[in-house]
Amino acid sequence: MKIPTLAFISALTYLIPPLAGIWRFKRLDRPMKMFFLLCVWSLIDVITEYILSVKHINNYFLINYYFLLDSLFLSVVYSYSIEDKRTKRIILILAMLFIVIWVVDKLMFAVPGQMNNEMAVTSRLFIIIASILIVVAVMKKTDSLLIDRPIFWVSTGSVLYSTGVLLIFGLSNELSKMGIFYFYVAWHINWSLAIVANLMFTRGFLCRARQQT
Amino acid sequence: MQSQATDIIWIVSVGSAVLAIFAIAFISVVITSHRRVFEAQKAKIEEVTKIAERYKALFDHSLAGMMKFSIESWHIREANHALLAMFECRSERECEQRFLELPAPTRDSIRSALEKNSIVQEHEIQARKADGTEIWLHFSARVIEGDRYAHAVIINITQRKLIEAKVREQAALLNETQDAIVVTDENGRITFWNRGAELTYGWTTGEVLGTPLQELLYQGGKQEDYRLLLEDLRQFQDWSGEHRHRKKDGKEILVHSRWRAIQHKNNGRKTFLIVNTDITGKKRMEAQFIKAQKMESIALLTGGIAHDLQNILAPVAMSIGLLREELKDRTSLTVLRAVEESAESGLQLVRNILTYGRGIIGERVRVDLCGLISQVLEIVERGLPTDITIDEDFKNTNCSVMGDMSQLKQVFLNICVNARDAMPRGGVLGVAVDQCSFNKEDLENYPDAHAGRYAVVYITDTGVGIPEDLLDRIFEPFFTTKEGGEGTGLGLSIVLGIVKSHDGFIIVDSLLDRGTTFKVYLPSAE
Repeated sequence: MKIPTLAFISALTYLIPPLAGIWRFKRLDRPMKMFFLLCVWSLIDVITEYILSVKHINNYFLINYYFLLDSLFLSVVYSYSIEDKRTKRIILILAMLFIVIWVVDKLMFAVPGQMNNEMAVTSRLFIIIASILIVVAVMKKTDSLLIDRPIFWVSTGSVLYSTGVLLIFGLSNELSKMGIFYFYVAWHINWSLAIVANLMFTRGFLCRARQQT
Repeated sequence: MQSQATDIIWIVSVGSAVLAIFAIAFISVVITSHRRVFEAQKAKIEEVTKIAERYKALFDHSLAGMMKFSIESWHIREANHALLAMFECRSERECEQRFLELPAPTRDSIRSALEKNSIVQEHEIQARKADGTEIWLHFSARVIEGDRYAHAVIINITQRKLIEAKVREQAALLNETQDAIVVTDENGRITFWNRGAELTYGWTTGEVLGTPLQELLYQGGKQEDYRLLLEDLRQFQDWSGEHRHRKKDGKEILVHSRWRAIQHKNNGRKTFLIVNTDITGKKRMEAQFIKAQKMESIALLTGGIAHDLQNILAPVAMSIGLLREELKDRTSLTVLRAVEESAESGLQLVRNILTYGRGIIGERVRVDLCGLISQVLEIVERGLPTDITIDEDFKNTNCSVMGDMSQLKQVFLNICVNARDAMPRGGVLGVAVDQCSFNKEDLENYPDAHAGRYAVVYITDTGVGIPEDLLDRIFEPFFTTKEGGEGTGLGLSIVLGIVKSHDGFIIVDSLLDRGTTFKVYLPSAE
């Protein structure tokens, strides 16, 4: 079946944040530079997934590892973004817990060749909680408008995307069993939210405010 | 199967959309609420910034020196340009050094006041500039930030101090003058009263400040003088003339007063500057001088007349002896005796007049004054009526003078006889002898005296007294209050002539119906 246009557009939007990051790289602070690396990694991951899907090769193994790396990378970005030790400690604990769950799940519950729904949902929940903590922490400490803070766009983009795809990721295996048509229909939500999230990340790279909380 | 898939897709889509909407709503709420809080904070920050800027401008551009310093170490955290300029320092560190050079008691007193009351107000301190010049400062401070730091405001009062010193110097000069210098406000209330005024009038500055001058010096019938003076002053702005003023002890003095109305340009108020010179003594001296001149003129005139009379009477007296040899009958001899007595009487009178006019030059020997007075009283006692008693007070006094015994005897005899005559209804004749001495300061009140020791003989009666207006005339030749023919009026003038020839002087005090005291001062031979 032909790959939907929206999937293609969505894949293209993964290119925008790294480009914006390159353009503003010198002005980026340390967390945003790390986030830039995450965006580059995401782009590579998307391109690889795309190539694999075009060649009709199962790319779920990539997605499963992406959940782990994406969550951990983002938790590192977050912990560098804030000075509030309490929030940092919570994020660290959550990250460690997530790793433990992932390892346990990988060893005991993971089914090869299938998307790991549990870990997908868990990673999204981890990102949602961590992002909300960051938004609250930034809001408390910032001396400028939130929309001028790059980390705000990163965290809200992550919240929006992770919240929106929570159900799809959780039921992805069920959807794929119903047929590719139904899978693509549901996956349109993911692609749409990915476009929005990428645009929000791009906005984060273009922020004038450099100082992090 | 297909409808089940459609349902699942429907549920997934709606569920995802709802979750995404929740996420968007969360983000919107966060942005909106933060924007509101941020705007409020921004407004507050702007206000605080404006206040800070105002404070900074005040701090930087203030003409008074300002600083923030540690109470413990005097370390200056911040100092404005005015303070640096005040000490001619280039840095806060240099300025800090100036404060550390203050005497330890000064620093300690400021520190203890700040620790105790948290405030120091207008503490006067003397400091040194960077070049070592001394400056006077008003130091005020208030504790801030707990107990460690204080804000200080420092004002340079060196110029004011110099002016104050100059004013004090000028005020001291005003106090040095003998003249009474008084300043009053436009209502006549005294605002300045110098040392000269204290000495002249007897009131101290503290007693008179704020008192109306009119009530103080122009009591009784002198209010009119004051009113006329003010009228003149209003018209001509200054006035000078002689006024009689009342002193604290009630005595009156004659002053030469100069008044000037001064209009102050800065506040429009008017003050009166008054300079009064006590001329009572000067006027008395002038009167005495005039009197002396008058006496001298009389002496000259009477001396001339007496000399001529002596020339006339001398041949008459000399001819009597020759005529006595020629005339043998009893009647002629009786007439001749009458002529002789008249001529002798005339010659005696002439001699008295000449004694007054030329002065008496006799033999000067040491005379025991008490012994002399005793002899005089023996003579006087014989002629006293029974209703007059003598009160003597000189037995224990031992004083002597250089003089002519017979002349001095004449002096005291004459005064005693006058005293007797002044007591027709009886009384007490008091005689006392004492000693006193005059220094240079006393001579103003005793113009006839010389500095040194004097013997004083007091002859007092309790008789009718001498009216005040006649008191100045009793030593004039031919002046008498006795009935016609009873006295020549030469007695006291001869007494004065004799005393003066002995370098002495006489003071007479008299009260009507109470009596008279003659004080005869003769230079002591001790």
